[in-house]
Amino acid sequence: MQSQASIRQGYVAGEFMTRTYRISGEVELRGVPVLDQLNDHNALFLSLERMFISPLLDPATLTGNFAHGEVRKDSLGIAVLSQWRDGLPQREGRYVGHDHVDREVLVVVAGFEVTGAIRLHPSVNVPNFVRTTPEHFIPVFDARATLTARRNIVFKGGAILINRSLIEVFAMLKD
Amino acid sequence: MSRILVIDDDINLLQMVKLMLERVGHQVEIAKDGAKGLELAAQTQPELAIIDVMMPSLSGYDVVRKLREDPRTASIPVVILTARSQPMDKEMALEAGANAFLSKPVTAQELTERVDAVIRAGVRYRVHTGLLTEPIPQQAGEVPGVITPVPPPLPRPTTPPAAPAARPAGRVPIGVEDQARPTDVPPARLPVTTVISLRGGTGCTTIAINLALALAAETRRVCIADLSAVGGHVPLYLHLKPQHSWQDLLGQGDSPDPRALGGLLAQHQPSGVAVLAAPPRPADGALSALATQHVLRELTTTYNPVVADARQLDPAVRGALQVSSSVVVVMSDDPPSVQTTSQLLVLLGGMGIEMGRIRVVLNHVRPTFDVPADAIQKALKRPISVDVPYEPGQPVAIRRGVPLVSAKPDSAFAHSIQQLARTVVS
Repeated sequence: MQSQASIRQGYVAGEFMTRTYRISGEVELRGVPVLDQLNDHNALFLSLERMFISPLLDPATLTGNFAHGEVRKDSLGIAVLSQWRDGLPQREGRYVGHDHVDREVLVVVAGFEVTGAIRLHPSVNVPNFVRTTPEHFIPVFDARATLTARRNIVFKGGAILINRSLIEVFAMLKD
Repeated sequence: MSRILVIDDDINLLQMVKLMLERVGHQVEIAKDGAKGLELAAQTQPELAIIDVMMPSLSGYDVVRKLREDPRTASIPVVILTARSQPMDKEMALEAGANAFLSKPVTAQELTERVDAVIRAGVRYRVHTGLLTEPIPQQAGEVPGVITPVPPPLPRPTTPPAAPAARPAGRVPIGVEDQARPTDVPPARLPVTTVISLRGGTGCTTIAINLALALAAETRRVCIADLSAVGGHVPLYLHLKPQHSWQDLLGQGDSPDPRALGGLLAQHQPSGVAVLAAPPRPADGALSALATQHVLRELTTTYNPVVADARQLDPAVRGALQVSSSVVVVMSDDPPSVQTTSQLLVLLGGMGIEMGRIRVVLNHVRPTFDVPADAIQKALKRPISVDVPYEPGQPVAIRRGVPLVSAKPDSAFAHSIQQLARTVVS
């Protein structure tokens, strides 16, 4: 039996930020983690259920809600997941591994300054990875995103998925 | 048993929350939307309402505002339960009139603890993470609720906070958060002595506790703060069983509520030393450097000095070290300890801790000698401030909960601790 009062089973809640809106919604997984759905090159849109919308500059005010909605993936700047396990593959692999290490980064993307850690095998050169990975979205762990135009607007999450094609600046904070 | 109304458009969540609350004896009513919830609330006058934010037509915030506007429902305490869990959402919920904020997913234990705390506190109090309670500023015409005693506020700090960094207006370096900016200026020193060792088994906690008791014997008001993140032992050494620890402050950001601090302290009656305990198990999180400095600043308004027991170099300990007027580095005479201490001294230097603030204590934890003191001083390139002799009665002192400075005040061990006490407060 489920021991947590959560959202529906088989769904993951996330916050999806475009340049103008904060969109909260639930993604139906169907066995495919959110990150993989975002990185699916065959689908231009991400389907959301129980979608609630707020203007990015007034992010706590709900200005619209829809039972279903579609978000164009390439217009998303970042996706905020409260816990990274909600949206990333659990298997040992690119972002999950006992030998992986955190490298602190700053990413300026779609009007947000995102700080957090990129978690990869120590042998991987992080800037090279960011430049060359074929994935649209890359996760930054234990991250916070500050809206550059209004620095009091901050989103925090166990992982923030960043649209690589909208990155303006990428820098390592340490190393 | 209490009557609780749950308002959420998600039927699965409604059933789950209902089940969780009924299991602990509450009577639960459910409503699938805000309008129905308001109607039920006015009819049944529940003792608590749990409300989701994201609902079609009336949002959770709207429901709370309408509950507060209606005199029949204005005194119902409200817990907001939502998947929107960013700081601005919590702020919005509390502004709307909610008494507590929970983010999904929530465990049965979290939910029932928070529900019980909110019912106990009543509509005029907010209950935060860690069940810390604070009064809501009273509004004209507000319905009085049940009042729960709140720890009296500690006096404001006498030490002025660090001056803000001088920075041209409007220029904020990207990637640097507001809270990190004061690092440009070193924080003000406090009457805090951090006792630290990064090698286990050197007797760091023993030295910290005995130092605190030696200082208390000089009629000082002393507090010992156990900053261990992996399970604190200070209460064990003093035979205390504290109900609270600094873990209760997690989730309150960099400025934990000072009013709550008094309620977290345990008192060692024989010596009068106050104890801010660490969680007995490895903590679920850690205090940030700024939060630790804030806590120490508040403590030093009442206690002088505060002795911090540190056995790792996490952000909390780094924060404590920055504001400490003295740092006691404890080591034993085995080669790994010498090596670790040497590295620690380098690290402390890198953190801007001047060598004049640091006292190295050589604690003989075994009856046999290993590396001679001269060799240690050469290796560390600095003198040992105090040489603490081996004391065979130490294990008995721990078992009895009576530290050696109290149990054997005339022993060589106690004399060396008193000598240390003089150096840290001089």
